[in-house]
Amino acid sequence: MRRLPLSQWVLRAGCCVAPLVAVLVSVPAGATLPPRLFVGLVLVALLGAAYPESPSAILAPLVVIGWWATRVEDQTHPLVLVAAAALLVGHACAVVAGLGPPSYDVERATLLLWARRVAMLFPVSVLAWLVTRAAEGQSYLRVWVLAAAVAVGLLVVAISALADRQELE
Amino acid sequence: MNSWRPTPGLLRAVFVAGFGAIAALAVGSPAVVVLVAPLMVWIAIALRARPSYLPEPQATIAHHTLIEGQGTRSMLRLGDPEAVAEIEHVVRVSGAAPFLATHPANGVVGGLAATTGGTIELSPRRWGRREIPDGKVAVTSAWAGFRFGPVVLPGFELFALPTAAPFRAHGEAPQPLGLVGSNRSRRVGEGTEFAGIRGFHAGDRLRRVNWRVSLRTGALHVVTTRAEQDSGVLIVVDALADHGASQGIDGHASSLDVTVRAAAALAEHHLRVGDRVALRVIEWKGNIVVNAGTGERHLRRLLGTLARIRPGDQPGRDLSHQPIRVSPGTVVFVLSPMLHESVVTVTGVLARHGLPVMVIDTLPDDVRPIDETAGHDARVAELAWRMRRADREALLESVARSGTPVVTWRGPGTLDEVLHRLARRASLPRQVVR
Repeated sequence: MRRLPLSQWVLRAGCCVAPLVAVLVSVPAGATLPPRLFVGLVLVALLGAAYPESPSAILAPLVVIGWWATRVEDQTHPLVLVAAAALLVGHACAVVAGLGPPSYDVERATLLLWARRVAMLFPVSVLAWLVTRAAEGQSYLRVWVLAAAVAVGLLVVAISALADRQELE
Repeated sequence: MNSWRPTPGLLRAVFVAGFGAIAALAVGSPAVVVLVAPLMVWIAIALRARPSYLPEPQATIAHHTLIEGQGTRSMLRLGDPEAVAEIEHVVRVSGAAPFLATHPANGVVGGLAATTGGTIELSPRRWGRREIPDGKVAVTSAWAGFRFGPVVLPGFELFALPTAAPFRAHGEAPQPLGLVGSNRSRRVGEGTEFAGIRGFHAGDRLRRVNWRVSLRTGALHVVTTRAEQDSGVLIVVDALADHGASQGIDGHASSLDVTVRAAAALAEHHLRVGDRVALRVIEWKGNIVVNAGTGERHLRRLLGTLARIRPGDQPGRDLSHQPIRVSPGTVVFVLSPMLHESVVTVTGVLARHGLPVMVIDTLPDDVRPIDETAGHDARVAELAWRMRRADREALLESVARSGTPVVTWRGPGTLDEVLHRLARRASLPRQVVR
């Protein structure tokens, strides 16, 4: 780890910090974060940052999702967008850090490309959040049918819009 | 791994998104939909960009022969344009080799395929054959969905010629006996170097008449000049052992580094002035001989021979009986750390044949040949080395007593004074043993 280039340190820091942020922002949304769970999350986040290509890197995002699914009362609180952004950034950091060996110094162009991609994908969360806010108070089944329809629609729109990969670059 | 496979990032996204979708439906959590929605889109785009062509990575190198310190590039070819078009990112890892500098220093290069191309810059830092071990390359498709590799890139070989140490000599060759060259001969002939003024003889050219002296003396006088001849040079290189640690062209030089670079400098200098240069490398497995020659191609041949030198590993053989054929008048330079008696014997044999022989001491002052970290007792090693140096002093003294000058290599001007002395000595009557 001592010989990691700066870009790898930054990316791995992103892998580590992102899940922590995603969970911490749930506190203002009404969740109570047990210290033990937070320590456990820190440990799995560190593990994921150390080995972003290993299966252990999946633990931290799963903890975040499980936490938001079961322990957060206000499911449509605006801070869920911060958690979604953190989760997305953490995933992108892990992907970029895993593009090469740990000694690989990721160059600026690749970092900028992935920053643009994160910025492109984040509006999907915003759209999903707007849909859930609009469906708030409706019956359970109706909300989820609507959410699934929106998700599929977003997928179709995104794939159609990005059919030519070159346009992204 | 010679096929496109999903990256761990894609698998992780699929697992997280799938788990999130199930959790959202099971628990009724809209927040989870917000969390995993971007990942689902990312998965869809990455799956759509799945490549259909297989790349065929190959490493090529611009130059296989370099002078130590020079640089070249190792390029990466990824195959057909269709396959290249599907590649977004390339990472290449080059194998490390001693005395080989790479840029980037850790040998890992990567970036977007459209801009980087996986090119690594290489520079051999020491003369000799540098074998670059196998490397690896991995490429990923758009959105890092699929990866090809890492696959092995076969290693290759670089041949580093020794760089010529800074050197120039103004001393004249002691016994030039060739046909045409730049060395002042002992004979009077058609040259430009003034030899004297004498009375006119039949056959003298009119342009040689010195009118001032002729008018003053009342008889025709002509200017005589020295003939200019090429000289034969034999460079004898002691490659029996390498003493001291070499740090390449940028750092500390071992005895063989000094020897080889000095030999390269001597060869280059004498070939530039038109002399015929021969090379004899004394190794345990036998002598390497390059016969006398001239010109740029011959210089390349000499440098190539020097670069192929490897310190021997069969000590104990008596090498002093191997014949060395040298034409009369050849100046012999023996480059050696003078730590082996065989080289001293060879030097003595050459000197007894009446050749102007000069020993160039190439042992660095601060050399420490035994690695103290390799399990040797440092005090014993130091004592052994002091005894070895004492033996060496005795050998050098015996060489000097036999009339062979010994000089320490110090670059430009190393040989000037000794060559002048040898030239003066060459004009004296001498006894030759045949």
